[in-house]
This record gives sequence, structure tokens and C-alpha cells, in this order.
Amino acid sequence: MPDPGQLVADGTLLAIGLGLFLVPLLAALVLIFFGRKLPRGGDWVAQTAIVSCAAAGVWLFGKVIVGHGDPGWHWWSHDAGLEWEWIAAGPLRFTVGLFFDNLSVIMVAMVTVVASCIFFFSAGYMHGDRDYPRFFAYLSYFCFAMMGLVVVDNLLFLFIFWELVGVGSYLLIGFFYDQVEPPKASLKAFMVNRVGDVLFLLGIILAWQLFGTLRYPELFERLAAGQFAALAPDHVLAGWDSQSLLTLSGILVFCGAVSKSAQLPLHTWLPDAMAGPTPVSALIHAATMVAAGVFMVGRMYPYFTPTALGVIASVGACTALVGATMGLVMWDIKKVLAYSTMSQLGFMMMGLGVGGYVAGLFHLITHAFFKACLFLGSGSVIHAVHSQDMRDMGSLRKKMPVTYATFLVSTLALAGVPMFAGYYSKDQIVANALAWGLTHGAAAFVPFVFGAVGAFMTTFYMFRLVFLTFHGAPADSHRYEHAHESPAVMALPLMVLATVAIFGGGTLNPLPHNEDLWFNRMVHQPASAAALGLGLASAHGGSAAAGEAAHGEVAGGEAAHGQAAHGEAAHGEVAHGEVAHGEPAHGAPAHGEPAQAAAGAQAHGEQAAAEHGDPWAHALHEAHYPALVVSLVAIVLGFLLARRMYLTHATDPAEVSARFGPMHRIISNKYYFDEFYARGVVGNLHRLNRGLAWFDKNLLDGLVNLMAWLCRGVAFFSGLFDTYVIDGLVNFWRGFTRGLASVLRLLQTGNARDYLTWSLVGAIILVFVLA
Amino acid sequence: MTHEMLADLAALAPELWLTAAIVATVVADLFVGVRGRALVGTLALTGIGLALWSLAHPAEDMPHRVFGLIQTDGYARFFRALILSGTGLVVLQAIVFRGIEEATRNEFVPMLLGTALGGCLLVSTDNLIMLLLSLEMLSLNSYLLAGWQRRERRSSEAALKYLVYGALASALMVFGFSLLYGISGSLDLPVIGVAVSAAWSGAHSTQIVVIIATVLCFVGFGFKIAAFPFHFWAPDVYEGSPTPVTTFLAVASKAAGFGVLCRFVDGVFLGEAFNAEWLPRLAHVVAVLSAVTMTYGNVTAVLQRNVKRLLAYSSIAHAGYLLMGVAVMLARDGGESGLDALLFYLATYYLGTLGAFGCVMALANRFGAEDTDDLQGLGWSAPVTCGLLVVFLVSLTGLPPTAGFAGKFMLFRACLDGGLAWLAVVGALNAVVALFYYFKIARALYLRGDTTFVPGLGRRGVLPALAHFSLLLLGLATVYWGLDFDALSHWVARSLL
Amino acid sequence: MDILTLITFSPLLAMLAIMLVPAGRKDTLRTLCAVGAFVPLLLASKLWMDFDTAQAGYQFVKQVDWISALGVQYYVGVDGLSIPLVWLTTLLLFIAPFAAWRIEKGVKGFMLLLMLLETGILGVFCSLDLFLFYVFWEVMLLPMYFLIGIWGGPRREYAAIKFFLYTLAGSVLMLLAIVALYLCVRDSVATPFSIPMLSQLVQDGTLTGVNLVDNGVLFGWPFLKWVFVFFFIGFAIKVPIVPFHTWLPDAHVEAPTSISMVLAGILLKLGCYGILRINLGMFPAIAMDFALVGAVIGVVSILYGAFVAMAQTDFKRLVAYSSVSHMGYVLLGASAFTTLGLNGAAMQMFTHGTSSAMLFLLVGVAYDRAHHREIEGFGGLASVAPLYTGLTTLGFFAALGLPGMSGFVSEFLVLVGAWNVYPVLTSLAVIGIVVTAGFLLWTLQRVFLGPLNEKYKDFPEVDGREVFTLVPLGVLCVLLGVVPTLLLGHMDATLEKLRLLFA
Repeated sequence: MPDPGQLVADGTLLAIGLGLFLVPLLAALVLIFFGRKLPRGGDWVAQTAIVSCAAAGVWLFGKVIVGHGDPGWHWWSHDAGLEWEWIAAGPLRFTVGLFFDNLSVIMVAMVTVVASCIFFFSAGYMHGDRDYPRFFAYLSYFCFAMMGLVVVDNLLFLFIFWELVGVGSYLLIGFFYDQVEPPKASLKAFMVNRVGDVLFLLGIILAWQLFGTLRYPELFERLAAGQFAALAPDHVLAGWDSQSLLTLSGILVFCGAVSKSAQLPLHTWLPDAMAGPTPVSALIHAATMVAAGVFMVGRMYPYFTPTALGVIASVGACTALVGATMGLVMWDIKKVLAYSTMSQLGFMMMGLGVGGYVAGLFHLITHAFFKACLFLGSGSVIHAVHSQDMRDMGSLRKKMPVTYATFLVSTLALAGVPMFAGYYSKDQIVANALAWGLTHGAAAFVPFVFGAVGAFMTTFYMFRLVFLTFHGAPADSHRYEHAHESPAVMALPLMVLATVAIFGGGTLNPLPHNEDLWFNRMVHQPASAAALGLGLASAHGGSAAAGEAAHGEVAGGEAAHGQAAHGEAAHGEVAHGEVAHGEPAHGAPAHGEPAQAAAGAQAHGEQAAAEHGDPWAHALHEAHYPALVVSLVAIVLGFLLARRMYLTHATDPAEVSARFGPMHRIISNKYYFDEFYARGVVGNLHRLNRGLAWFDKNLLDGLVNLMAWLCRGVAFFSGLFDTYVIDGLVNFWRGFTRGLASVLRLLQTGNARDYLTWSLVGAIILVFVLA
Repeated sequence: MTHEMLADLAALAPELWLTAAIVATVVADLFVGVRGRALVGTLALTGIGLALWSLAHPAEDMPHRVFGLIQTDGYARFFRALILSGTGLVVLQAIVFRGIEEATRNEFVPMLLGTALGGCLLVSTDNLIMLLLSLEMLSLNSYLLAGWQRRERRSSEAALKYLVYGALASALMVFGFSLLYGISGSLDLPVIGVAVSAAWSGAHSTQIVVIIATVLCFVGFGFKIAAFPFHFWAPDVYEGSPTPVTTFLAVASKAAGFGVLCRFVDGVFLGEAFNAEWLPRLAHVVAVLSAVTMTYGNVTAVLQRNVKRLLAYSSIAHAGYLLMGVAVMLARDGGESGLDALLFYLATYYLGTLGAFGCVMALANRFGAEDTDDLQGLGWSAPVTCGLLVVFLVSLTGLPPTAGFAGKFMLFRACLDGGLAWLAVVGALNAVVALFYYFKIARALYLRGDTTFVPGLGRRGVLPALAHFSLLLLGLATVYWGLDFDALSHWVARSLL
Repeated sequence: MDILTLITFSPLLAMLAIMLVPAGRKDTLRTLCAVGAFVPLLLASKLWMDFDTAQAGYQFVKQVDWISALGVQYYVGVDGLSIPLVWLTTLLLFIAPFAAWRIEKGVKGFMLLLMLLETGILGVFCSLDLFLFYVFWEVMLLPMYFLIGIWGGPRREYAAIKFFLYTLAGSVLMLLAIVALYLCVRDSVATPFSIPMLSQLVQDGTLTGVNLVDNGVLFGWPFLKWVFVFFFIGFAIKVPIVPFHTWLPDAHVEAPTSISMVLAGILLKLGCYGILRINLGMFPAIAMDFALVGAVIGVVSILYGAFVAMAQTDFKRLVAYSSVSHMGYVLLGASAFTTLGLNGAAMQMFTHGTSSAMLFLLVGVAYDRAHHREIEGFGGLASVAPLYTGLTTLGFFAALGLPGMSGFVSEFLVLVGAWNVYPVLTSLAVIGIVVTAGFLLWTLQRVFLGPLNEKYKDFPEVDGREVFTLVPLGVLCVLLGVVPTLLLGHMDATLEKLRLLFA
């Protein structure tokens, strides 16, 4: 097989890497400055840019994932050979480079393809808008940021682009700036994300303190080698052991993902974000940006300690369930999809948390396509009926066949019906959750349960959506009359996405071996570098077994050299002779080798695990079919219930909601999160601010003015003393000597005498002081 | 007439020129009458000019003591130079000043010169009799000058207050002198110094006598320099008298007062070492006096509306600053840095005050402005004069790049040097207060009123032009001495006792 | 004639030239001032080019005796700490006349004072002799008083004198400290005011003040500690740190746009510069004793400024308080004595200089048109003035430290640099980041977004002149955010030398 380093020539890779985010940026600048002067508002500029990116992305995908001619699992990672010194201060350096591996290649392909579809769809959807060019400028800008986020090779720049995509989201949510809601929603989105981001930043800072680098390869390498830098001796955290520090840092980093991927409790911005144009919701708030959180957790996966992963799992599970429940009761078509997105993101996080690294990321990819398709579909519906309320719709399938078909397909995918893309990824997550439960005791079943219930609800609200929108009788005949299928420029993207929603799994085999799925072959779970570095018995046997294999992946490009060293370190925990062979033996410098060795090692690893009864691999093996069954049952139930309530109307939804009265109220009020933040947080903040402002104005500044005032006061009295006390006596004596001749009166002996008194007093005082 | 006597007379050349100028002006007035203002002025200025010239070019074989009464040391020359130049500028202003009736203007000039003569003698003598005589010569003329505007009630009242108060002060001081004479049996300060220090080491009763004598003399000097609590006459008199006289009192008379005070302190207390516990106490009393005086003057000035009264209080404050120097003189025996700083500050104060009053007079001439409210917006009508005024105010506040800053710097240096750090802090904070009221004038000139140009009435002729030009020179000197005061400090160094 | 002297005093030449032009010919005066301010900008740019970044010490040094009686010297030079500020000064003072173009009242006086101000500021940054430093320091106050007091808003008299008195109160204490240092060394060295010399002596331990106060102790504190504190108060008032900041909102709000810009852009930096140059550079040992105090003050300023800013209803006052918050980072970073902390502090000075100047210009645009600054009084301006909105958004994002803009770099450096030393304080400081973003974007929303306030349906778009003043600053914000080494490269060597004082 070819040496992965040679799969793509360095120069080409660098060119592609830079082009991926510089070309959209260029397009954005062109559109901002000259958009209005260009024909057709310059949408073609943006489209050309993104399509060329997509071409590059797909080409890379083909080269690396498909076209390497190796049936077996194969890991490729490569540094594009760029190392730019961003900050140089004293001995310290913050550099940035481009870094590719299977994960980022897949991510790039996904983002660019979805984005291209949406760019074309937007041309139809936003047609005739006053700010048409600005819209495409923002979209291109967003793609620039998103691409950067994917391809950079260190945490700091990930954070930088992380915030930049946030700005893109801010600008696009508030795109209709002259309406009331969008600006508020955009502000809310930015602020909520800001909260998560500063915590993320603290996590990054802590990572920097611990390891003195933020480049993934070096970071994981040092972590795996257990090279912790000591904190300052008088540091608050100095007493903590490195595991707690690592956990803390991991959780802080995860906080970034919590806000960005709308996990509890920082999810409130996502539904409001639907105030933006629908294509934006599809691109940013369904397919790419919100998924960036999941991507980041995947990138940093080896960094998380078991504890941190536990936190991730629980947060994800809760989000999955809570999001789904809120999806049940919404009437706004986009809100339903928003909460569905939230819940699906929860699924992904949960998957990652429970050790289903592959499952979670796989779901990220498949979900991106069909959720984008769903949003665009809803967009085309909204475009047709000029309403977002499902109670204004109904029976649209006749009017809008293409939209209906694609929407249905995506719904099935989302529900996880076998043979659709979603099925393969979602099923794995559930399986992993179950396995986690099996290996980690009773409480650990929670994710699995939540996941199963979530799956049921997902199916329910999605079919509720479909039935209300496309089936039944038209609720509003007027709207119905004017409804029409969207133009080709909008229909085609839908078809493309729907296709992927069907074939995204790469197979139509309803009962595949996970190892045979393309994604499972291409992406493999990295060893928990944290576990290695801390010398823990690894969190999940599975990941440990994969450990050796994964080093190539963990450390990426040049870091692979270092692996030989950790080889031994790793053996300690994982007693798989075979595993050991591959890598340390040749300890090969070439990038490919460790990966290849790993590939082999992995395969054995699994079987070995099965045979020797490695608990995790065993559990995973066990969990596969039960999980499958459970989720299938959940799907069927969900579908039947939805059909009963919204298609055949055998049960009146009103009753149901009446029966669950209190709970229904809580859910339809979104668990009062917004109220809590509005009153509890923002309200008190304003109160604090006003208090301090008062303090500043009246007390601090008052003090200053008081001093001036005192000075004037003293001046006033000393002035009085000079003029009145003395002249007062003068006047007294003037009255006394009134009878005298004017000359005498002018003399004012009294006046003199009283001057006399003053100076005599002074003189006498002096005498006493001196004596 | 012996050769020595001639040499002695040569040493008195400045005073002689001054006398000549007095005679000349009086005579000229007899002939040319009211319209001869220009002539009288020219004569007076020429006399002063010659006096200054002779001061600058002393004869080689000049004796140190003339007639056993008069010192011709650098110290005396320094003060005479200040007094003469100050008087010259005042005369120049007085000639063009509208506030003085034409009829009496020509008598006014010789009167000023006479006062200056008194001042010159006062700072040159170290003999109590001579000191008393010259002091009275200075004072009596001042009383008359203060009451020059007969028809103005404020003026006459000021004169009388001044007179009565001055009389009292002199009386007390003479009593002090007599005590000193009683202790030492001599009228010459150096001798007295020796005797006093001897007496101090004697019985407690004699110590009391020394203390009383000291205090009484200080009352006399305190009156001349308008130090708290002997300052009460100052505001009324400054406000009441015609502005040229106010100027004269604020500079020449105050300088003379400090001249004699320092000579007295130097002669009596620094001659022989007093025991260590009394002189420091005296120093601290003076320090407290200085602190109180400057604070009192500054704070009281804050609310004044009448510019002259405001400047009167400011001059009280500056007396306080100058007393810092005296305090340092007493604090560290030798007191080099103290006297040094004092002389330096006096010179800078001179520039500032002369300039400020000059500008106020110029504005009064053109716009009849007396109160701060009258000054509103004049900055746009008389840019040059007001610009200069701001410069002088900045200098009086003590901000760079003006002479005033250099002066303050020297004083603070002396204080920290003399172990009176707290006094330095008080002085520094006082500068902030001072800024506030000085800039009330600047505020009125620029920040208030409208920016339209008001011509005001000008006055043609050489002397008015010269008066304005002199202000410009003062302004330049103020800035120059702020940026490079080597020359000044060398001169001061040559003028120490 | 050496280049620093040229840079410092060329504005004075412009000032003389302006004096000669009759007051009536306003456009001539404005143009003349702009040209006069362009010369130092050119020279400073050349200085920037010629600056040897590898060298830590002072460069372009000029040292001649000035007042021999005191051993005062005309001693100027720049190092990595001062050169960015020198350049920034010349840039902002070049922009100022354009920002003040619309002023009709007393144009001549305005331009005169502007040039005098520039000389004063440049002098402070260049001088290496404490006496010289102090002279320039005070020279700067005078024109500022008149610029605020004559051309300011309704409460200008109050604001002007408050600014003057407050700053003077600080600087007289500084003067006493200078005199005290002078007295300590005047007998031993020929140049008792030279900053490098004094730093050397202090760090050798030969300067203790024993010769001035007995055994170098004054009221229970080492003599030098008093000197340090006096200096610090002088600078702290200028920075300004809480609680000495109350002059700032008044001065900034009342001053005309161009002057607010200079105030926020440069005058605040003078305080920080003094702290870095003198308190840290001269007394490292004592500075370390006070490190925690400094850090606490810094964080308090960050949070307090941000919170109070959020409560403001006056657009300009809000921006003013945000400056208080941003200056806190300088103090926090400086108190950490780490490479990153110092770099962050030094860079924050520059970045805040550009971003805050931009904000004040933007506020000025709104005020010129609407003649009020009530945030609630606007609304929906984006619909009528898109370009203005775009520039404001840029400025706001720069100010809230968005990555990719210079503000982020400096704040990130400060946080990383300070975290290992003051973990708790730094973690508190990040709250400031959130709140800052909050009030800036909230303001953006209330003023520019949402439905258009009918009152302003013919609100004029920014004109070419305003764009000309804004664009350079905006470009700087982005450029330094993307390529911070452009700036850090010049400061690195010097700051490393400074840091080694604390190692």
C-alpha cells in the first residue's frame, strides 16, 4: 500500500489547506466591498468559491478515504508542513500550522458539500432580498471560519476560529436587522456562547500551563508520556494531583462545546437562533457550527480523563432527552427541528462520552446531511406557505412532491430506520451506551435509557411534523392554494442531501458488522492519552486495546516517531502480545507505518478482546443486538403513536396534553430556562450594575466633590473672617464714634485697636510656644 | 572730603542715582506740569537704569562696609537689584495707568522712587538704627502711596489701616530692638548675635528676654512680609490702593521685608550655635507659620472675585512659601540651601507677580476690568496680554516650564534637605489649591464669555508700547528661567550671606 | 539634529507656523495643523523602521547637559516599551485635526494647543531624565485643560478643572518623589535625574536614602517604598485605576471628539507607561512587594469598569468606563512579572489606544448628527447608515477582544501570563470579558439594530473625512490581531530584559 505521506503531495496539501479557508474569505471580502456592483448580487462569487472548496474537499476525501486502494482500516494523518510563528514572546512561542487526518478530511468534505448545497438553495430562498450580497458575504465568511476551525493544528487557533464562527452565527442570526426579534436572538446567541467560550479559554490556559504547548500532536505526546509541568508552588491548584488538574482542564474545555453545541444548560440560544434565515439554520445551526462542539471533543478526545468523559456522557444524555421532550410540543416547524438538533447533538456527545468515539462522530457526519435536508425542506415549505406554524399547513405532499420525498427520506434517516444513514450511526451510539451501562454499573445505564426514550420521542415528533405538514387536510385553504413546489435551484440541493441521507452509511446491509462500515474503518478510537499519562487502568478496555493502534491517530503526523517510547508504557496496561508487535518493533519513522501496524493490531485487538474477555469489547459485542432491538422498538412505537394522534386522529392530542397537564406546561415553557436566565442572571446583573453606577456617581465622585466643597467652605469662612469679623468690629466702632468729626471717623481708631488685638494675640501665642 | 569717603560714596552709587532721579523728577514737575508725564517718566526710568547699571558695575576697590552702617555684599546687591528693577517696571506701569489722576501723577513717581530708596537701604544695612530709619522711610512712603486716590474711600481707608497697623508693628519691633540692645549693648547684628547666643546659655530669665525680643522683631518683619497672623492689613490695602502701588507692595516691599528678615535671622541666630534644642523649635515654629500662612492665603483666595484681592491673598500664600526657606535656614545651621532657595524663589515670584499685575493693569486700561467677571472672554479680544497673563499665573502656580516651577523645586529640595519633609508635602498640595484659584482667572479669560473680538481703548505713545514690551520680556524671562535657570542659580549662589 | 528631538519638537514648529496665520483663515489653519502633525508621523515611522529589534536597551539616545546647577540633562531615547507609544501618539495626533475639522470656534487656538499637546506627550515618552520627564508631563496638562474647557460640552468647566486638579494632585507627589531621589544621589553621581542611572543604583542597593532620612526608614517604611508609592499614585491617577478614576468619565464625556480620542488613546497610556518604566523598571524589588496589590487593583478595575459601563445610558460615558475596564488588564499583566503578562500589558496599551480611539470617533459621529448621546434615543440606524454600522461593529468587536483582532491577543497574553501567578483573580477577570461583550453588543443592538427610529430616517451616512479617520485604526486592529509579531517583535527584547529584573 502507498505511504500515506505520499497520498497527497505536501505542496498540494498545503495549497488545499490554505485555499479551503482563504478562498471563502476572499469571496466574502469581495462581496462586502463590491457585492452590490456585481451582476446577480455576486452570489456566483460565493458559489464558485464554495464549490471549488467542495471540489478540493471531495478530491481529498477520494484520495485519502476511498482511493488509497487498501480495503483494511487505514489511518492517515499528515502535517501540511506549515509552521507560522503567531506570537513570539521571550522564549515562548505560539505557532500555527495545518493538520490533516481522516477525521478532518471527512469533516472538510461534509462541510463543503453541505455548504455548497445550501449556497445554491439560498440563491433561490433569499432571491430579491434587499441585502442579498451581504447574505452571501456572511455565508462565505462563515465557511472561512468553519474551515479554519477544522484544519488548524492547535487548540488556540481552534478557539480563535471557534469564536469567528460564533461571529458568523451572530451576523447571520441577526441578518434581518430591522426586525425586532433577530437582533435580540443574535445577541443572546453570542452572549451564551461567550460564557462557554471564556471557560473554554480557561481550560486552554490550564492546558498550556500543564504541557507548555497547544499543538495536538505534542500535547497528546507529552500527556501520554506524563510530562506534566508543575504549577507555581503558591498556586491555588498546586495541591491538586495531575489527574484532577487534567479533569478540570478537560471539563473546562468541554464547557466550550456545551455552549457551542447547545448542550444543557447553555442550549437556550439555539431555538431563538431560528430567527435567522432558514438556510442559515440549516448550515450553521444544524449541520456545521453546532457540530463543531462535537468535533472539538473528538479532536481533544485523548485529553479527557474517565471522569471528564463521564461528565460529557451525562450532559449529552440529559440534553438528548430534554431536547427531544421539547420537540414534542412545538408548533413552529423550525423550532421542532431546532430541538431535534439539540437532542441529536446530545446523542453525539453521549456517544463520545460513553466511549463511542466512532459512533458519535459518525452520527455527526450523517446527521449533518439529513438535518440540513430537513431544514432546507422546512425552508422550502415556509417559502411556499409563508408561515412557520404547522397548524397553517397540511396535505402539502401533493403540492410539493420533491420537498415531501426528500423530507420523508431525511425523517426516516433521523429516526434511524434501518438502511438509512442515520440508522448506522445512531444504532452504534445506543449500543455503546448499553455497553457502558454493562461495564460501569447500574447508574451508567442512564445514558442508554435516555437514549432509547430519546429515540422513541425523535421518531414521534418527526412523524408528527411530517403528518401535520404534508398529510391530512389543508388547515389553511388560502395558503394551500398559493403553495407551490420550489424552483429547481432549491429542489436540487434537497435531492443531493437526501441521497446522502440514504447512502451515507455506505451500505444498505441492515445488519452490518460495525468494522465493515466505511467510517469505522477510516476513523478509529484513539487511546485515552490521559489514561496512559496518568498510568490509570484505562477507562475503556476497548479504547486501550485500540490504544497502540490509535497512537498514530492520537499524536498525528510527526508525533508518530515518539510512539515507540510509549509502546512499552502502553503494554503495561494492555496485555495483548499481538498489539505490541506492530508498532514498537519497527518503531518506524514513516508516518504510515505505525498507522498500518496499528491497523493490524487493531483487528487482532478486537478478536483478542472477544476471546480473552476484555470486558469492554465483550460488552460492546454483547450490546450490539439488544441495542438494535430496543431502538427498533422505540422507532416503531414512536411511529405508531404519531400516526394514531396526527394521521388517523384516533387519539386527540389535546387530551394527551391535558392528561400530562403540569408536565406539558413545564415542557412547553421550555423548562423555564429562559425565565431563569432573564430574571436570575441578567436581571441581577443589571441590578448590580445600577448599584455600582450609583456608588460611583454619588459616593466615589461625591468624595472628590466633597473635598472641593470643603475647600470652598473653608475659603468662605476664612474670607468671612477677614472681611466681616474685622469689618464688623470696624462698623461697631464706626457706630461708637459716629458723633465725631469725619476726620476722626476716617481714623477708625477702633479698627486699628482691633488689628492690634489680633497681632498681640499672635505675638503672645508665639512667646508661649517658644518659651 | 577724604578718599575713603569718596570710595564709600561710590559704593552708594545706586542710591545716589536714585536720589538724583527723585530731585530731577520733582524739579521737572515744577516746570512742565501735568502734560510732562512723559518727561517725568523718562527721567525716573533713566535714574533707575543708571542705578541698576552702577549696581552691575561696582568699583574694584569697593569697601565691604560703608560708614560702618551699610553692607555692600552680594546679598545686598541682589535685593537692591530686585527692588530697583521692580520699581522701574512699576513706574513704567504707573505712567500709563488710567487709575491715577493726571493731576497727581507726577508727584506719584518721585514718591515711588523714595520708597524704593528706603527699600534699598533697608536690605543693605545690618545696623539696627539704620534698619529702623530705612524701614520707616519705606513704610511712610507706602502709607501715602496706598492712599493716593484721595477721592476713593477704599483707598483712604486702606491707607489708614496700613498706617495704624504699620505704626503698631514698628513700635513692637523697636521695643524688640531695644531689648536686643539691652542684652548686647550694640546695634550691629553680628555683635548682637554673639551676645544673644551668650545670653541664651545664661540664666532662664535672660532666655525669656531673648525670646520676647525675637518674637517682637518677628512681628515687625511679619508685618512687612504679610505673614499670618500679621497679614490682616494686606487684603484691604491691596484692594484699596491703586494697582501700581499694590504691585509695588507685593514685590518691592515684600522683598525688602524678606531681605531684612533673612539678614536678621542670619546675623542673630546663625552667628554662634545656639543649643540644639531651641533653634530646631524656632525652626518648627517658623515652619508651622509658613504652612499656615500658605494654606490660609491659598484657601482664602479661592472664593475671591476681585482680581487684586485674589492676588493679595496669593501673595500672602507666597510669603508662606518663602518662609519655608527661613524655616530651613533655622533648621540646619548654615542654612545655605534655605537661603539659596528663598532668594531663588523670590526672584521667580518677582517675575510672576510683576507680570500678573502688569497684565491686570493693561487689561484694566483697555477694558476697565477689575473683577474676574469683567475679564470674561477677554482672552479672545486681547490674545497677547491674556496669553502672557496665563503664563504668569502658571508660573505663580509653579508648573513647568516656567520660573515658578524652578522656584518651587528649589524650595521642596531645601525642605527635604532640611528634614522638613512634611512641610514640602504641605507646600506641594498647596500648589493644587493655588492652581484652582489662579485658573479662575484663566477660566474667565477663555472659558467664559463669547469669543467675539472687542477692541477696547488703546493708548498711543512710546511709554505705553514700552510698558507692553516689558510685559513681553517678563513673559519670555519667566519661560526661559523655567527651562534654564543656571544663570539665576549662579547669581543666587553669589548673593548668599 | 537627532531624530527623537525632531519628532518631539516638530509640532512646536507647526505651532509657530499656525501662530502666524490670521485666525480668520480656518481651512488654512486646519490644513496647516494636519500637515504639521503628518511630519512627526513620517519621522516616527522611519524611527520604527530603523529600530533595532534585537537590542533591549535605549536607542537613538541623545544626551546633553542642560541645567548644570542640578545635573539635569536633556536625555532622550526610546526602547521597545516606548517606541510603539511614540508611533501611536503621532498617528492619533495626525488623525485629531481631521476629527476636529468641524470645529468653528477659535480654530487657531485649538490647533495651536493640539500641537503643544503633541510635543508634551512625545516628550514624556522619549525622556530618560526624570526632570525632563516631569516637565513634559506637566506641559501636557495645560493644553488639555483649555482643549476640554473651551471646546468641550455643557459641563466643560467642571470637567476641565477636575481633570487638571486631579492629575496635578498626583503629579506633585511624583515631583516630591523625584526631588527625594535626586537628593539621595546628588553627591554621588553627576546626573542625579537619569532614569537608567537611578535604576542601576536602586538595583545595586546603593540608593537607599540613608543619607537623607536616618537609616533609610520613614514612618516605619523603607524610604524607597515611599518614593515608589508617590510615583505610583501619580501614575495611577492618570491610568486611571479604581478608585482614582472619577475624573475620567467627566473629562472624556465633556471633551470634543478629537480630544476624547487623544485622552483615551494616549493620555491613559502615560500612566501605564510610567508604571512600567519607573515603578517596575526602577524599583523591581518593591514592585514585587506590591505585586498582589497591583493585581487586585487591576482586576477590580476590570470588573468595576465593565459593570458600571453596562449601567450607563450615555453612549460616550459607556465607552469611557470601558476604558477603565481595559486599563485594568495592563495592571494585571504588569503585576504578574511573566513574559506573557508583560507582553500582554505592553500590547494592551497599544491595542486599547487604537480601539478606544476608534470608539470615541464613532460616538462622535453619532453626536455630530443627533446632538445627543442617549443610547435609548437612537435605534435602527443600520437601516440608514450601513457603512457607519459596519465600522461601529468592527470597532466594537475590536474592543471586546474578538479573536483575530488585536484586543484578543493582548488580553489572551495577559490572562495566560497572569493565570499561573494569580489563578483566582485571573479567573474572575474573565467575567469582565463576558460583561464587556455584553454591554458593547447590547449597545450595538439598541443603537443600530431593530426597527428604525423615525426621528433619524434621514440620518446622514458617515462622510469621507470620518471614514478617513476611522479606517487606519480599524486596519491596525485587524492587522495586529492577525500578525501580532509586527508589534511584539519590537517590544520583545526590552520586555524580556524587564522580566529578568524579577527572575
